[in-house]
Amino acid sequence: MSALITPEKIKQEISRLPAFPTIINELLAVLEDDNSSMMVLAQHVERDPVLTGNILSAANRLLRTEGWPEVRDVYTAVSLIGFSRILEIVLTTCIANFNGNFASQHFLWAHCLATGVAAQELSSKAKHNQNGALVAGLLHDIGQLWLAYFRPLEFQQARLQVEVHDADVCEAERAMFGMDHGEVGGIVAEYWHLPKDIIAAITHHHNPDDKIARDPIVAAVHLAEAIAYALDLPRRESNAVSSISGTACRTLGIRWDDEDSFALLGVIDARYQHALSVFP
Amino acid sequence: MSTRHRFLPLSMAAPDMVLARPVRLTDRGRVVLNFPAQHSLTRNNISQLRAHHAQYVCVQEEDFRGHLARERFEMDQIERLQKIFRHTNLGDPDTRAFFDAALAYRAA
Repeated sequence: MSALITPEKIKQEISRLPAFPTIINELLAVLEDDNSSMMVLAQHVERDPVLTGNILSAANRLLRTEGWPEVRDVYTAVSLIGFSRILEIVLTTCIANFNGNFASQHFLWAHCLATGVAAQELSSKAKHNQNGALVAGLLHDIGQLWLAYFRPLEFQQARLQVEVHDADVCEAERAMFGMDHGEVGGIVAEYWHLPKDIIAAITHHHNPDDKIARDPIVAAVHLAEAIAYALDLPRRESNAVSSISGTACRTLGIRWDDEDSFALLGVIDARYQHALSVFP
Repeated sequence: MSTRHRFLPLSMAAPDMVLARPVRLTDRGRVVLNFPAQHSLTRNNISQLRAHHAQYVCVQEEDFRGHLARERFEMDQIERLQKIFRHTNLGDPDTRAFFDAALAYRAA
């Protein structure tokens, strides 16, 4: 059975998805500048009590684990946690809430969280755009959400090919839909006007060619997903690494035979467990 | 008795755990907390780490497993990783190196 989809069809149907949080694009545009980022955050906090409540809720979960009293406003949270951590909380909370609109399995969120944390850590080590990598990692499987939302039966059939018949996920999706979840996700990300490197990271996260893997965010998300699967963060029987791009490793300056790789994997593992307690 | 290193989220750190790697926390370029490797954590140290938003520590633990148990554990990890890498070409040097790094971490 085939249920071919086209880029036009995807774009037509995106408007029926819950609205993508505009604060993410606004923050991505000014991430390098703390003052501008703070202004964007302040504007949204003033007009969006639901967003503010969600940010405070995640900030308080973090503060509780650190033995601090609860806070009731975002500015106090910034002073206690620091602006860069609040920025991570805002970006992750917005994407977690967006994902929460879908009746998807908890596994997918935990997998995206692991990929986001790993992409951020890889970018931090390579001194690239950490928050861009975090967002790209958190959104890398957005194409699966689209497929699960608009083509639930066919999506389940493609998943069955993976779970029961051990098919490669991208091949199973291409056989069913004519494109895989990376390509679908790239079209969705383009529709949302996300930055070009994030669109490329979402589109090519399974198998970036050498030219595309020279982009640091593409490289980070590709390797981050492989790490999430290789360490079973979280565990699912069908976890599978599809490929490792040598160009991606070199783009980020990672040598797996280096003794630092043990610490890199350890830090990602521990940070993922920590993040899961703040963004369950 | 041999030891092994474990990276733990801070919520799992406990008094008397011994750091395998130093912890050095900075705030705007200023060092605010500095514990060397082999430092034994106290309750107060853990509170300090929390207060400065540390997310994890690397500790060393005695490895009580016998030789056979360790070998069996490593075999389980190899089997699991071979399943996870079933769609890859392990003859490719980058893929092989990543497989080996994941195995070294998982089997530790």
